[in-house]
Amino acid sequence: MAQPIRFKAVCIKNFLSVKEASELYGISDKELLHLAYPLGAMYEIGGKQLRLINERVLRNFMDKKEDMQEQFDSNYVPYAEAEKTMGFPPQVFRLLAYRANAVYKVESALYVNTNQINEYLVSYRKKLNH
Amino acid sequence: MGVKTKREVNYMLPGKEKYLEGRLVIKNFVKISEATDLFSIGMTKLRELAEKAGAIYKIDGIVLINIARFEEYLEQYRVWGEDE
Repeated sequence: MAQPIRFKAVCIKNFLSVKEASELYGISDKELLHLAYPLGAMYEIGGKQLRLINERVLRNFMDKKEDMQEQFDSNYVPYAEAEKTMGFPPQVFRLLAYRANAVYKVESALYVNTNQINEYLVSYRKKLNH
Repeated sequence: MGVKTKREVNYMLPGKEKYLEGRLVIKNFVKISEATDLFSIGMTKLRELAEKAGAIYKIDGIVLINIARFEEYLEQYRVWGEDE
């Protein structure tokens, strides 16, 4: 005989207190507030007496942030590290990186988008083949 | 997967519904005692807000809160901008 299907009745908890949210994401209350206000994830009821965080809004941002971080980690490498890992002599690497428009200056640090260098090299190969 | 509260009522965070593979019923109405955990608001304040929201249903002495309507009402308290 077929087993009866059991359903589970649950509620979706979309609103968390500041304490619950900071525990969930492992960040301090202060950091959480800095995030929640600009994102529009903060709800203030009766002034600041009662503050709630919209978990759905916060989670959307956190998911996007992780994706962006992964993309950044995979493509953007500090200049010196990229120079070592790509294995070109320093002058050649410098030339390639600048010609491929792959050098980014963030504050005073230089980063290289290795994907852009690879694409540049691939296009160069095609030019030679034709 | 679920968030166990002190009342041992199962709540889930958004986006986690898929783990129950279709054997899941989302509750649209909850008792006030459950709603206090669900919204992390005290009972008196919750009741006051729910009444303003028009989210309270009374059936033979049982008081239920319509979650969707209450959440919609909370939207007016949303704050955008920088933290002070």
